[in-house]
Formats: sequence, structure tokens, C-alpha cells
Amino acid sequence: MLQLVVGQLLNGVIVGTLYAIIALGVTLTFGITGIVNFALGAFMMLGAYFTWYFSDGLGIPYPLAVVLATLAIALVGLVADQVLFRFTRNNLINGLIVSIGLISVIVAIVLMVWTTTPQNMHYVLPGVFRVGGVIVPKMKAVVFGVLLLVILFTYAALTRTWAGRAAYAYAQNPEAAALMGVRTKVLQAGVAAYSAALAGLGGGLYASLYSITPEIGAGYILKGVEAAILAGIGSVMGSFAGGIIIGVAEGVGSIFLPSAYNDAYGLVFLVLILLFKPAGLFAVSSR
Amino acid sequence: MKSRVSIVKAVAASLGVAALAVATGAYSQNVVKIGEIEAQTGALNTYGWMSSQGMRIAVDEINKAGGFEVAGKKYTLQLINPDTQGNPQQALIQLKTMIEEDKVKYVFGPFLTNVFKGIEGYARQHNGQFLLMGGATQIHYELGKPGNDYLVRTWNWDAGPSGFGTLMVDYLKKKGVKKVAMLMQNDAFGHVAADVYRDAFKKAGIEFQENWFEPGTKDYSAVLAKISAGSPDYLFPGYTDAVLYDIVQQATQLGLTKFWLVRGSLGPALKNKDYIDDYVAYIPKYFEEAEKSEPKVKKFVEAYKAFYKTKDFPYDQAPLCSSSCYDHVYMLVEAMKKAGTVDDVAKVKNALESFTYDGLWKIRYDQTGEEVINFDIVDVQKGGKITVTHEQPR
Amino acid sequence: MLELDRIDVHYAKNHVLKGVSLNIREGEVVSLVGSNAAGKTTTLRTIMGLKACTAGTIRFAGASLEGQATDQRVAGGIVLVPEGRQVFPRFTVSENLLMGAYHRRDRNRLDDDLDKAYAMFPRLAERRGQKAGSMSGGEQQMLAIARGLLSRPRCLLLDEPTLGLAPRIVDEISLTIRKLAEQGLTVLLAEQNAGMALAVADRAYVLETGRVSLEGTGAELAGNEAVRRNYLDN
Repeated sequence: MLQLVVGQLLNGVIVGTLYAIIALGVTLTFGITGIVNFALGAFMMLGAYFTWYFSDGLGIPYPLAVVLATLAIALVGLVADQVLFRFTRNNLINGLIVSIGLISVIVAIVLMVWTTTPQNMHYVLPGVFRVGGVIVPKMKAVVFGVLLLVILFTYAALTRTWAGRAAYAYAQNPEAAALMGVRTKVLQAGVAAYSAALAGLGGGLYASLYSITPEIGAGYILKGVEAAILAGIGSVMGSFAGGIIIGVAEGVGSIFLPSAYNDAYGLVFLVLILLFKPAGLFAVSSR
Repeated sequence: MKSRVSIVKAVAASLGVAALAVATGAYSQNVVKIGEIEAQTGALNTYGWMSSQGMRIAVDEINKAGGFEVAGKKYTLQLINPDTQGNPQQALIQLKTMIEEDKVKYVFGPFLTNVFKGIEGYARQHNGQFLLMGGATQIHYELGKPGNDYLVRTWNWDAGPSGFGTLMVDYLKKKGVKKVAMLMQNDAFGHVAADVYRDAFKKAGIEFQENWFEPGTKDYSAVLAKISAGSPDYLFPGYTDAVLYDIVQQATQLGLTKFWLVRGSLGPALKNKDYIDDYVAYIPKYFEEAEKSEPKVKKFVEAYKAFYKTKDFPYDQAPLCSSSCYDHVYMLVEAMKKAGTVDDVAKVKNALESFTYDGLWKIRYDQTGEEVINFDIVDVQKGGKITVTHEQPR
Repeated sequence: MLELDRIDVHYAKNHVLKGVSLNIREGEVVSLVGSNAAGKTTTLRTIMGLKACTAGTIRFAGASLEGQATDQRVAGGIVLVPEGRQVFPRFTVSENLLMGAYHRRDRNRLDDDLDKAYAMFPRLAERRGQKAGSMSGGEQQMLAIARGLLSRPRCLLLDEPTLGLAPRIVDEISLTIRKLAEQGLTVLLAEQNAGMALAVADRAYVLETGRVSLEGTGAELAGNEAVRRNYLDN
């Protein structure tokens, strides 16, 4: 039993990191552009498909395929921002409507090109690590490592670089930041592209672990938004913690409770935490 | 004293009437219309697509050969096969049009239970006016009930004396298996499967452990770890390829390397061939091998490629041609010949259930109107070695 | 140095500024006095480009500001210390000051400027690692001004710096403004506290419901009958 719990703890941390990378995109987008961009889930799915296509379709080595897919999704996110979301700044309702519309379009295109049949990437890194009696697939460990590095990098960039500081300042007080000479429009476009890239990267790594279908984005954006709210908008390490909390709750919970409850853990935690800390666990601004 | 002019007029008039008769399709008396309601496209088209592909080839072949003769009259076939897209409301409209406007008496399909439920009421109202021959699971439960004379099931069933599932369980018993863990979708069909196999394994004296997952699950590590802790001999994983790829990959990572399944293709086995020890699958026909050893199968593969002008043959989909497909058209024609009528559906149905048709498959219908066919048990071992066992139910 | 020529500003149908003209010469301290909602904040925001004007021109150092975005105006040397302080609450004092220098080319060589800021505002030096959100109103105001100075302004705009602050702090701010003026900085001060604003100013304007109603030196306006009646406490 202990082995089972420890195993699920580890698995929950890894799966939770995938939620966290989406949550990070959600929280950055909300902090800087004032909307919840649900299309980040579709970007993640697109990142998974691009990575699979580059790797298995075009024969590009997997790491490079992931990088290319991430860049491609960053571009998609930038275009979507400039063409669509530019007109929904700080307007949650319009942002919601536009992102739902965008999701439909992206899913329809993927369905047309690749159909609803699940696709499976070749095995990039088969094999498992055995720690005590607990088994951790090697690729899952790699995915965790990469995502952790990216999250830490984002945190460092936000606190130690001028661009990051500008973003962080803008999230705290947009007008004051403008008065410091921060170029609002450039910042917003940049954050939109970066958030999309995070989602695309998440998708590219997802593809190495599971089969991909056009629906995979929906569950992830939901968990990502839950994790972001749970952590409190604006906190990078908070998004990470939020994702992990949900991942571990699901993993350990599914040992003891029927599988039907799986999606509920995130919501239960969300409600519990918001009851006691309405701004989230680590909130930055009161937006 | 008929003048030449009036004879010419009479001949011209007769020719005119004849032309008119042809134009108005009076010769449609010599066409037998058959309908098909399947999902050819969309998320649920796994089963309907192959049926539709095979049926077209059969109709084309029969017509090209000059049609068929019943009670001294020559007939050709006309296939009416709209795409239901898996949508029950759409299917109902299509069926109504077939029955009421096109006067179709022989309809193949549906394979999807949700579609069947959508058309069932209408079909019962027209009991006696047509035959509905489909593969849906739900049809199994409706066969033989009063008022359901119109119904025939064109796929075999897991359980019962001729059930393929029973023979599959026996295969496992011969290997000395003591414990099987099931991991199944927690939905309507998953529970049907569980009910069937719970009994079958009990009768065979094999311990049967049930585990469920929600449709849409991708990460099975929790439930697989639980299963692994119980050290089963074989894993009986879910009923679609969509979940099998993930389950097999993750199961092998956790040390579960033997699989036994009754729905799904060999794809997951072949992808994981270096990590599995044994993968036992029910495949209606293992086409890759049958193509080389059975002349009828070889001919069908060539006919398919020629008809669709392609070099590719859908080997993973082809086994599904065991339902409402190529053979069934030919079998229907045989039945009509035997019954001596193309209109009396009751007689045709009796005829259909009175003989064994030997085509790609050996098909017969049992006393409830459910199909019994020969099938293959395909055993994939570590490294990809494949052994095929041919089964012929009694 | 800074000229506003017949500026009109609308908020939807509301005509908020009506033909406002101001002239601030280099090295001057000019006060813009008026009650709540007179249009003082709107004037400063329009100068910064945070609000567009519907008519009129703004010229800075001889060149028109038309078409220049806020960040370009800041880079050109006009800096606003906004109403309500608007410090970055999660940043420390030093991080706030750093942000002030964001737009500068030499933003990585700030040691001198930081030393000067801490020298001018010793209380900030004591609290340089403290989060700005936890400081008092007066301390935040000092921080906001210091941050504005780190932007290397040629013309500093101050919006209601004394609002809600104790008299002692108000005096400190007056002193600070005079010190900056002595160092040659041009200052435009918008204030409801007319007494303080007129005392510290070289010249002043009175703004009433979006229009300039009076203009003169600080002393002249302080002695003006209408001004005394409406804006000064005696």
C-alpha cells in the first residue's frame, strides 16, 4: 500500500507539472492581458500534433521536433493575439467568447487534417527507473525535468531580467508601468506568445507519453485554470504548486476512490482553498 | 383494309409506349433495392466504414455479372447507402426515406447501438414490411421478442454455446491461466462486456478481477499499479484501440506483459512487441495471413484495390467486414433464390436462416437470428511472432 | 519648455477640458490649482499621452508630442508621479526605484542615481529591502517621487502628492520640490491643497470645470480675493 501511495505521489507530481505549465500560461495571460485564454488548451493539443508530425512524419529528431513545435505554437499564439485577442484586453467575457471560437476552429482543422483517430508517437525513451519498489517511466522523469527547468527559468526571467521585471510591474499596476516607459502593446504580445509557447511545449512533451486526439486540450485547460485560480493569479511558483496539488490529489485519490471522481479533486481543492483564501494561495495582485 | 399509314402509326404508337415505359422506370420491377444505414464518417465510424466499403464492391460485382435470377426473373441490385455519421435522428430520416419512398425491403445496419435505439420504434411499426440486418449490440437483446420479426443480427456474440468469447476463454484456460484482471471502460458497453465475461471466466474456473476507468482517461498508472500488486496472469484491457495503445504501453512499463482481448486490432501489440510477452486477440479474420492462404480472400483484396483504385488495403479494418458487408449481400441473394421471391420478406428471412454461406467467412444464423462465423485467435509474442488459430464454432 | 495650446479633452460626450492653455518655462515650478474634478489629473494624463486630446497641441522642448506614445514621452524626459502614489506593492523600495530607470539606456549603471535618491530620502534608504505595499502613505509618496526622479526627467509632473498626508509630510514634500527646483528641474504640480501649491510655485494657474480661470505668480494668486475665498482656508 505504501508503495502504491508513493508511486502515485511521484506520478502525481509529474502529471501535475503538465497542469502547471498550462497554469503558468493562464496566469501570465491573465495578469498581463486581463483575460483567461481558454485557447491555451487548443495550443497544447496543436503542439502535441505538430511535434508528432515533425518527429514521426518528417523524421526530425524528437528534441528538435519539440523545439520547432514550440516555436510554431508561439507564432500561432502571437498571430491569434494580434488578430483576435488584441480587441478583448481586460474584457473577460469577450475574451471567453473569442477563445471558445478559436478553440472550435483549431479543433475543426485538426480533425480535418488528422481525423479523430488517436495518433501515437514512436517511443522516444522507453524503459523505467526503479526506486525502491516504485516504478517511474524514464520519459516521464525527463518530461518532469524539462518542465521544471522551464518553470524555474520563467521565474528567474520574471524576477531578474528587465523584460521580466517590466511584466511583473505591469501585472501589479499597468498604468504605473506605462509611466515607467514600459511598452504595453509589445509586452502583451510578448506574453501572449510566451504563454502559447509554454502550452505548445507541454503538448509536445505530452505526445511522448500518451496517444493524442483532438480532445486532449480540453481537460488540460480546465485543470490549468483550476491550478491557476487555486494558486492565485500572478504567481509563477504558485502555478507550479497548484498544478502539483491537483496532480497529486488525483493520483493518490484514485487509489482509494472510484475512477469516476477523478476530475472532482481539482474542483474540491479549488473550493476549499478559495473558501479560506479567496485570492488564492499565493496571489500577487487583486485583479 | 388497314392502310400502310395506319400500320406505321400503330407501330410508332407501340414504340412510344415502350419508350415511355422505359423512361418511367417500369423496368424497375427488375431491380432489388437494398439499403444500408451506417456511420461512414465521424468519430464513431470504426464499424460502419468497412461495411460500407465491402458492400459497394459486392453490389458492383453482382450487377457486372449480369445480375441474379429468382423464380425465372432476372434482377440487378441497387444500393442506397447514406451516411448516418452516427447520428440517430439523421439515421431515422434516412430509414424512413428508404422504406416509404424507395420501397426498400432489405436494410443492412446499424452497428451503433445509439443509432439502433433511434430507429427501433419506427422499425417495429413496419414489422413485416422489411428486414433490418445489423451488428449492434442492442440488437442481440431484441432478437426473438414478439413484434421483432424484422430483426436479424449480422455479428457474432461473445457468449452462448456458439459464442466466440467462450472459445477465447477456453484458449486461455489451455495455457493454464488462473487469474485475469479486467480493466474496462466504465460505460454501457463496458458493463455488457463485464457481465458476459464474469460468467464465462467463472465457468472456466479462472479468477476474474474487475477494474474500471472513465472514458477519456490517458494516465492509467494508479489502477495499473493496483492491478499489478495483485499479480494477475493476464490483463483484459478495454474495448477500443483508442485506449489500448495507452493501456498496453503503460501496463508493460509496470510489469504487466500479458494481454487477452476481444475487441481491437493488433496495432497495440505490434507497437509494443518488444515489451509484451503475450497478446491474445480475437480477430474475425487475420487478413495478412488469409490473403496468402485463402483464394477467396485474395480475390477480395484484389477486388478492393481495383474498385477503389488504390494500392493500400485496410488490413486493420478488414476484419470488420464480418458484419453487414461483402458476404452478406451475396448471402441475401442466395436466400432470395432459395425462397423463390424478392418481395416476401418472411420467406427470405426463413431462407436466410436455413443454410451456411461459404464466402470470406462461413456464415450461418442461429435459431434466434444471430450470426455465427468462423474466426481467428491471433497470438502475438515478444518480438512480434504471430501464431494464428482458426476457430469454427459449432 | 512645456506648452499646452488650447487643449480640448472629451470623455465620451463629456467635455472635460475646454481650451486649456498652459506654459511652463524651463526651471520653473508651476502649480495647477483647482478643486476635485476640475480637470487637473486629466491635464497631466493628457500630457503623458495616457489620454488623447480632441483638439489643441502639446509641445515639449519645442517639438510637438502629437503621435508620441507614452513610453516615447517618458524617454523624451516628461515624467509623471501619478495620483495615489501607484508604487509597485510587491516590489521592494529598490526594485521600485529600478523600475523608474526602466526606459533609460544606462539602466544598468544606476549606482550614482540610487545613492542620490537615498541621500535625498533617507527614510527610503532605511527601508530599501521592504515591500512598498507595506509602507505608510508618506513613505510611498517619497518613493513615488524618488522613482520618478530615477526616470531622469527634464520636466516632472506631480499629481496631488499631498493628498491624504499629514501636514508634516506635506511640508517635507514642499521642501523636496523646492530642492529639486534649485537643482534646475522643471516641475508642474497639480494640487487641491492650494495653500501649499501657491507657496511653492513660481507661477500658477487656476483650473475650474475644465477651463483656466486665472493665471499669475504664486504670490499674486495667493493674494487674489476669489482664490482666497474658494481655495484657501482663511
